[in-house]
Amino acid sequence: MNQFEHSPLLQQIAQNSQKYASKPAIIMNGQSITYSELFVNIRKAAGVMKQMGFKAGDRIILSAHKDLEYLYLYFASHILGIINVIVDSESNEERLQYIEERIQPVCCFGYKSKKFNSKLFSELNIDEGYEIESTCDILHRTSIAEILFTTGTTGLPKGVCLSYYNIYSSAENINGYIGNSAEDVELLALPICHSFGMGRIRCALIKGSTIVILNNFANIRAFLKAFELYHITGFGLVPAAWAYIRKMSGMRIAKYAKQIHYIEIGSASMSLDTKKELLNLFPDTRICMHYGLTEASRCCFQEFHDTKHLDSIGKPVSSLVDIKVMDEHGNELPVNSKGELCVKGNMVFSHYLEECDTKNAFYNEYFRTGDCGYKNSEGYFYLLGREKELINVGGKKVSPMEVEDAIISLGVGDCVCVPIKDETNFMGELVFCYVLKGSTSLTFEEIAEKLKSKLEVYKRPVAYAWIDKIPITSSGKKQRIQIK
Amino acid sequence: MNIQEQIKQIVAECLELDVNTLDCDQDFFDMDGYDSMRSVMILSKIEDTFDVIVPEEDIFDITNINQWVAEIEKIKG
Repeated sequence: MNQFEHSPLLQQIAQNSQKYASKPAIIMNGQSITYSELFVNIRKAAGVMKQMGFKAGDRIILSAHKDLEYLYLYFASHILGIINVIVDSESNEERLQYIEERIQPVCCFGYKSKKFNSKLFSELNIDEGYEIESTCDILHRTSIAEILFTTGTTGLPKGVCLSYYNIYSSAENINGYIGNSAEDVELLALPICHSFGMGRIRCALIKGSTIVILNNFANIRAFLKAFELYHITGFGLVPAAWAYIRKMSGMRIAKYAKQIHYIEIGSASMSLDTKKELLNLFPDTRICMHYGLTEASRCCFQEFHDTKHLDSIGKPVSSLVDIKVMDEHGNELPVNSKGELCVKGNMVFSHYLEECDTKNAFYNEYFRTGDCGYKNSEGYFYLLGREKELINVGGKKVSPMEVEDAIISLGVGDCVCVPIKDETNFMGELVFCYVLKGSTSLTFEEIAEKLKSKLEVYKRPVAYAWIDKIPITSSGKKQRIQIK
Repeated sequence: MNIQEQIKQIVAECLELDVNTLDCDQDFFDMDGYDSMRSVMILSKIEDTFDVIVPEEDIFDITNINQWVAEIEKIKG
């Protein structure tokens, strides 16, 4: 089949719509969509977008609501060559406006934009679209399929441009490692605005398995009930979600251990004790923890049954992926030497949206992760820390600068944000803010109150303290590490 | 403030809702903004405020404000 040659992902979904025509592909919001219906609806959604006048290379912003329309549009863009820009449905207005300005979208879907053409999913009538059969021929596997904005260290989001080839390769690599099959039924409660959640959907649809999508982990009863109802055999987790499941439901999940073939974990570090606990609860399950970034997808995996290396991030996900430890000039360092982890592979992005962001992002073909680590003599990688000053709140990355800018905009002279350990062990890290003494007449309570309209809840500092002086480097950068 | 009022206050604060709009029998999962992070915030604020540790086995069965009130009354004896 030469149809959709640029997108192996679409080709696979097209093939699955024949092979598994009447099998449920997606179960969400009480609706079950078969592979055949999925493919028809994707083509109809493409018809709707074509009627709206969109063409290859145009950009749309998709607010990642867990709605079937969102998924139809996402894949429909692949047919037409429209570039998807996926944003968190809970993004604050400032972030959305910044992204809109950078993207200049032909349409924003899933929210109302103040400046650009926009449509809510409920305003779309996908049923009325005509089914697009083929695609235009200017598309290639290396054409940009989507742009995801990451938390930039400068506080400004960076657009990661991923090609059709990148996203398909990533899913193929992960499926190859995890070993899931068409018979699996996966439960997804992760957000789908990041590469982890969307990646799980792509992995499942490529394989021809069924994916059951829940809004989030909050409704722990619904989460556990799904295991029984749909005979779930695999699921994805972030460490914060696992802590939540354990706290809110005790050991109830262990009841389903026998039916679970695989668990994929990622986005933040997990303690050795928690890893061992999972291993005890799921002795026959492949528990695969990834190390990854939006730019390089999930590039490294460690399976918990390899107990000798539980403290490592494992090995490259496939033979097509290479990771090197490099010095500050881009030279490879020998085994056991500490340096920056750099990744090359079929899923590694080629560039950021802005040329200036890409400038120092690579050493030749190797993407610089900004993470510090080493490789041992057996080829396992170990993470030592990150050079980027991001704060990891339950798997969501927060730029201290973004928080500081928001606080300063309230009428605070200066402040500095640092990570603190979450004592409840749910979120890993939380944001703590030191405010420069005498630089504001606002109280901490007033700052916290005013921040509510400026920042998403996880980005807001959980506590404040006064500081006499904010340490800065000779070049004027705040030395956050010194304050920790 | 009695226990119910205190818990309502905590829930309203965590979910950023007006305390007067809260229905004590409404399932948390039907309330706007309820997600895992906020439910953990509610749990830890309740534990802090009443100086209690809620047994893991009980948490699973608490789905609205009134059930929280009953739980705190039970623990406090």
